[in-house]
Amino acid sequence: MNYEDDNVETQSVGKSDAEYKSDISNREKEVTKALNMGKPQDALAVALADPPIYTKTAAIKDQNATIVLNLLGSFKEKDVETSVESLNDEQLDVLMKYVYRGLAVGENSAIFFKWHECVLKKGGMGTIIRVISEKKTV
Amino acid sequence: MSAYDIDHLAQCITAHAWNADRSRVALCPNNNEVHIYAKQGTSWVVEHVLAEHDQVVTSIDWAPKTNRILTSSQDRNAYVWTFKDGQWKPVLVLLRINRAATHVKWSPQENKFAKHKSTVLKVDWHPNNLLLATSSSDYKVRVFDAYVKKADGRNVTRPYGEVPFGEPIFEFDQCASWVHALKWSPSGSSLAFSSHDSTFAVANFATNPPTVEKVRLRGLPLRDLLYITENSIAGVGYDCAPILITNQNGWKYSDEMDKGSDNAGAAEATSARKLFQNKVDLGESKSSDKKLTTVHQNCVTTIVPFKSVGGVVSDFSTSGLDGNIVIWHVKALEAKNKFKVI
Repeated sequence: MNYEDDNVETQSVGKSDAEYKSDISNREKEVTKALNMGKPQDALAVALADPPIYTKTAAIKDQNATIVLNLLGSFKEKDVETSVESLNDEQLDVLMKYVYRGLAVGENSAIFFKWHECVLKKGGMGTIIRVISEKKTV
Repeated sequence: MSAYDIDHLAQCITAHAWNADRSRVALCPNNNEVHIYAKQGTSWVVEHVLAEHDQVVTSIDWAPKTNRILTSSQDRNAYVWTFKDGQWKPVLVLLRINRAATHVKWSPQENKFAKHKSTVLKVDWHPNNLLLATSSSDYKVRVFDAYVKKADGRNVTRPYGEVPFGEPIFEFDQCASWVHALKWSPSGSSLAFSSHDSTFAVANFATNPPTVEKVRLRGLPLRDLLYITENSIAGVGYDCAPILITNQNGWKYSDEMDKGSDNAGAAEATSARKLFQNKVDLGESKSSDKKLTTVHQNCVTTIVPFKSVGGVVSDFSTSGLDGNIVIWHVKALEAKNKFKVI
């Protein structure tokens, strides 16, 4: 714990771990469903919705990120740009957080760099700044 | 008329403030002193050096009506300076805080001032002389009732009733990082703030509790804000160029106010490429003498009005880590860079 953590109020906002767990299993089902119907765009929207940023349980974040990162990794490079085009500012911020998480894993990096390039182009430097400065991690 | 005037007065400027008729500027060149410059002909000359603080001066405010200067420093003290017999006389203000004082500001009637301890980064007075807003490194913005019987007297109506001194009336948590800047609008009906996660927000006090609009900025975070009009805000920060945010059915990023010299984009792209090429080829970076195409050459930390009439700012000045003081002329800037203040 650093000095800053002492001073920042940690409120219990957001959902409980149990709620997040059920979110994650729903997310997994819906992402698979959208992919089976050949709608990766819909799958992306489901994947980015309501990330578990408030939980302190690493296992929940891991489980959730695995689903999202698998989806992002499965995109073809040529589809990335059009997918990013349709996202709003809030979704772009969330996506950039997952992209950094994906790059931290260090596998399949080429596709994550492609995501990074496209999000940066649409959302600007602000998206990177928010990944670095926000404590609400995915 | 050119769109701006630039003067290089120090290596790095931590704070600056103007006197009432704008003939003098007080600035801190990143040390324990405050230098007062006076304009002689076309150049600025040091007139006084105020050296009473022990550590870096963090904030300066010059009261236009009573001509008193207020300074705060990392040495945990504040001074009120009064001009008498050709000299600035300091009066120490006991703040009784155990960390550095980061920001001080005269209230509109110049009869009291606000300060906060380390975790609060900026303070700003409501034009009614009673409400005080603070922005903090705990990611929050708070609004306080700063009624002091001795200074305000008994015959005032407090806007939110009898609120205990030191109890926040409102608390805003739209930011997810340090809140660097905040300002009340000229009328006091809205409060703008910006934070280190490149977030900008405006709280509208027409309703109780206030409604807050949040804007995710494309660029780097803003360090300071200035209402040019009730519906236009200039923001400065790590992008080295002031940006304009306007309110047309909602607050939105409008444009850059300094677009750099004409071939800005191209020059930047090649130089970034060159920088890496040099690193690869020679194992070193050779472009350290590179100039940015913007007027400021480093992060801009302060923006204050230079000329304003009835809440409309026609000229403003900025200073930052590059040691430049730049006076910007809004009308000429609008024409040059094709943006619109509303």
